[in-house]
Amino acid sequence: MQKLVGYSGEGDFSHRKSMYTNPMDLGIFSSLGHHVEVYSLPCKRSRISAPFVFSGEVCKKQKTTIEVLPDECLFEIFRRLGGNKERSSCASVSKHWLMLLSTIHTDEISQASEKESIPIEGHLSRCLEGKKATDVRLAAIAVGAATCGGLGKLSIHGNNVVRGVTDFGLTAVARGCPSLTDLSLWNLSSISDEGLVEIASGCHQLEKLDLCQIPSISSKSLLAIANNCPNLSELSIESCSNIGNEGLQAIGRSCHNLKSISIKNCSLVGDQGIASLLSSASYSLTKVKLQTLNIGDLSLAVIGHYGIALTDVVLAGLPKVTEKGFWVMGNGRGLQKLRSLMITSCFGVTDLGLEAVGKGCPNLKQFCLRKCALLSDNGVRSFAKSALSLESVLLEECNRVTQCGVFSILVNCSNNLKSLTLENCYGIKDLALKIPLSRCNAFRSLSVRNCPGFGNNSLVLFGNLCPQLRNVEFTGAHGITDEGLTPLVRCCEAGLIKVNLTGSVNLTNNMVSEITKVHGGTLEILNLDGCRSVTDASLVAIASNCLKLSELDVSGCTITDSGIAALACATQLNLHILSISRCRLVSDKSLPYFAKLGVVGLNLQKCDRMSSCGVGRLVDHLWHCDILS
Amino acid sequence: MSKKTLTLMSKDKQLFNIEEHLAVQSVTIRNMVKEDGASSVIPLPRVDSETLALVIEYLNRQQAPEEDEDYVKKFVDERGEIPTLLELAQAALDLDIKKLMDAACMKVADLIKDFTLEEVREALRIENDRTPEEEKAIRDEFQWAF
Repeated sequence: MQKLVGYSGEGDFSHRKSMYTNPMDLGIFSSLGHHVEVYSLPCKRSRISAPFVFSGEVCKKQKTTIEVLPDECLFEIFRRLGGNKERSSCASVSKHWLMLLSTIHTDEISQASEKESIPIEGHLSRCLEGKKATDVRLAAIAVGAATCGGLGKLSIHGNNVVRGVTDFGLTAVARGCPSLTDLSLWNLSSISDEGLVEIASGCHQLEKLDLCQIPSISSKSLLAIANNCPNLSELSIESCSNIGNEGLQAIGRSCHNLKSISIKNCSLVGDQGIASLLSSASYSLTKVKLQTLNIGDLSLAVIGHYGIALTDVVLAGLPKVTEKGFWVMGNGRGLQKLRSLMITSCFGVTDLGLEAVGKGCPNLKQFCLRKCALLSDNGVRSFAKSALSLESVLLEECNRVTQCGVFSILVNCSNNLKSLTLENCYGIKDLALKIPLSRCNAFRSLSVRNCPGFGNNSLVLFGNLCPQLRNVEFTGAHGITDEGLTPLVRCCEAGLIKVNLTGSVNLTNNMVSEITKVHGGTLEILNLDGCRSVTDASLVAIASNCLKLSELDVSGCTITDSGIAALACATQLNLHILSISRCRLVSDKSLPYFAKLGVVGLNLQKCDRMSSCGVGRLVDHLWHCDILS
Repeated sequence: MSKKTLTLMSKDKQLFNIEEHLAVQSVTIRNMVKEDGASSVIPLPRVDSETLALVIEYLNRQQAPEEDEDYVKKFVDERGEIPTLLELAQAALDLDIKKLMDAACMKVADLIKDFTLEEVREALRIENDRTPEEEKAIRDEFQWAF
C-alpha cells in the first residue's frame, strides 16, 4: 500500500510527460476542474498521490464522458483517429480538444489508421499579423494543414499583447507541420528557445529562417536549428539581443547549404561569430549583409579572404571597422565573384581602403556608397581605375567627393558604365573641367538628386561624354538653366525616353519646346513638377511634338485651361497618366477635355479653381479612370 | 510461486481474486509485485467494480497467442457503449495493459469519427470553451468542416 501511494508515475507509465510542461497547457486542463472533484488535477502523478476518500459521494457512479478522461487516454484515442479530416473535425469540438490534438506529432499518429499516407509537400502559406497571431490559430493551422497539402511557409508578425504566440503555438507547428520550409517570426516577446528548439526538431525541411525582434531567444535556438535543419539556405537575424557568436558558429559548422546571411543590430554578435560563420560557409555563401554590429576589421578580413562564392555584400553602420579592415578585405583576393557591393556609414571607407576594395573586386558591377564622409576624389579615382566592370554607381552624402571624382568614374569605366546616381553630394561644385574626350557608349541613365552645386558645366560634359543617354533625372538642381540643358539635349543621339526635371525653377518654355522637338519621337515620361516658368506654350509644344508620351506631370506649373485644351486636341497623343496638382489656374472649363484625353490616371489635387461638384461629375463620368482629388 | 493469487480492490471496495501469472499482464501490477511481493490487497481507487470485472475477464482469457488479436477486438466490440469503452480504456491505461487499451481507444476513435460536430458535443456533453475570436480563427482554418 505504501508503495502504491508513493508511486511517482515515472517510467513507462508517463509517456506523454512533455504535454504538461507548458503553463498555458496547464491552464486549459485546469478548466476541467468543475466536472469531477477527484479528477480535477491535471496529471496522473497528482491523481495517484491524492488522498483516497472512499466516501459515498465520490464512489457514486459518475457517467463517464470524454471530458473527464485523463488527457493520456484522450491522446491515445486521438492518435487512432483515421484521416486528417477526422482529426480536424475533432479539433473543432472544443479548444481543449484542439490543443490536445495539436500536441500529437505526425510520427505518433497510429500507422494502422493512416489510410492516406501521401507524403506532405508543403503547399500552404500562412501569415498571422497582430491580433490574429495566437496559439489557438497556430494549433488550428498545425492540425488542419495536413488536410490541405501541408504547411510550407509561415509568417508571424507583430505582437498580440493579450494572447500572443507562445512556445506552445510553435510546438504545435513543429509537431504538425514537418513540411515547413520558410519561417518568419517578427516582434514576438513571449517565445523562447524552447519553441524554436521544438521547431528545429520537428521541421527538418526548413530552408529560410527570419527572426526579428525576439529578445528572449539565444544561441541555443540557432544551435538546435544548425543540428537539425541541414537544408537551411537563408538566415536573417535582426535585433535579437541574446543571440551571440556560438549560434553563428554552429550554423557555419553544420549548414552546408547556407547561401544568404543577414545580421542586423545584435549586440552580442562579434568578430568571432562572423569569422567562423563566413570561413565555414565559404563555398556556399553568396550573399552577406552586416548592419549595425560591433564587429571590427577581422570580420572584413575574413570576407575578403574566404568570400570566394560571394556575389552580394552589404556593409552598413559598422563604426568599429577601420581603414585597415577595408584594405585587408580588398587584398584578401577572395572576392573574385562579387557583383554588388553596398557600403553605408562606415568610417573605414577612406581613399586607401576603397582603392584596395577596387583592386580586390575585379568583377564588381553594382556599387553603392552612402554616408562615407572621409572618402575623397583620389579614392574614387583609384577605385574606378581598378573596378573596370562597373555598370552602376550610386554616391550619397559623400561630401568630399567633387565632380573630379565623378567624372573619373565615367572616364575609367567608359566601356561598361550604364548608370550613375548622385544624391545629396554637397561637395560637387560646377567647375569647368578639361577631361579627355572618351565616349561612354554604354551609359544610359543619369540621376542627380538634391546636389545644389551641380550645374550647367557638368551638364555640358555629360552631353559630350554620353551620346547614348536615355534617362535623365535632375531633382532640385537649381543651378541648371537652358544654357546647360540645351547642349545635353542636342548631344543625346539615341533619343531620351524618361526626363525628370522636378523643381527646376529656371526651366523655360523654350527648353521644353527644344526637348520635345529633338526627342518627341522617343519620349515616354516627362516630369516637370514644380517648374514654375513652364506655361501653356510648353503644353502646346508637347501636344504637337510628342508621339509616344504616356506620363506627363506638370504639377505646380503655370498652366491654364487652354493648355489642357491643346493637349486634348492632339490626336496622336496617347497619354495614360496626367498630373496637374497645384495648378491653380485650371478651372471647371477643363473638365470636358479630361474626358477627351482618355487617361487612366489623373491627379487633380489642390486645383483650387475646380469645383468639387465638377470633379464629382467627372469621377462619375470617367468611372474607368483613377482620379486623385 | 506461479500459482499465487492476488487480490484487487475496486473503487467501491469490492475484492477480486486473480492468479498472479495472469495479473502481471498489467505492467503496473507487475512492477508492484516485483517491488514488494504485493502480499496484501492491491487497491485500484480509480477503477469501479463493473470495469474491473471486465478487465479480469479479459485477463483470464484462455486464447492461443495467434487468436489473441481477434479475441480482444471481439471483446471490445461486444461492449460497444461509449461510456463503458471509455471506462475500460482508462482502466487499461492505468493498469498499462497495452492490447486492451489499443483496442478500446481504437473503437472509441472509430465511433466518434462518424459523428458530426454537434453529435460529438451532445453525446459527450462537451461545452464549447472558445471565445468568439478563437472560434473565428478555427473556422477560418477549417472552413470546409462547417
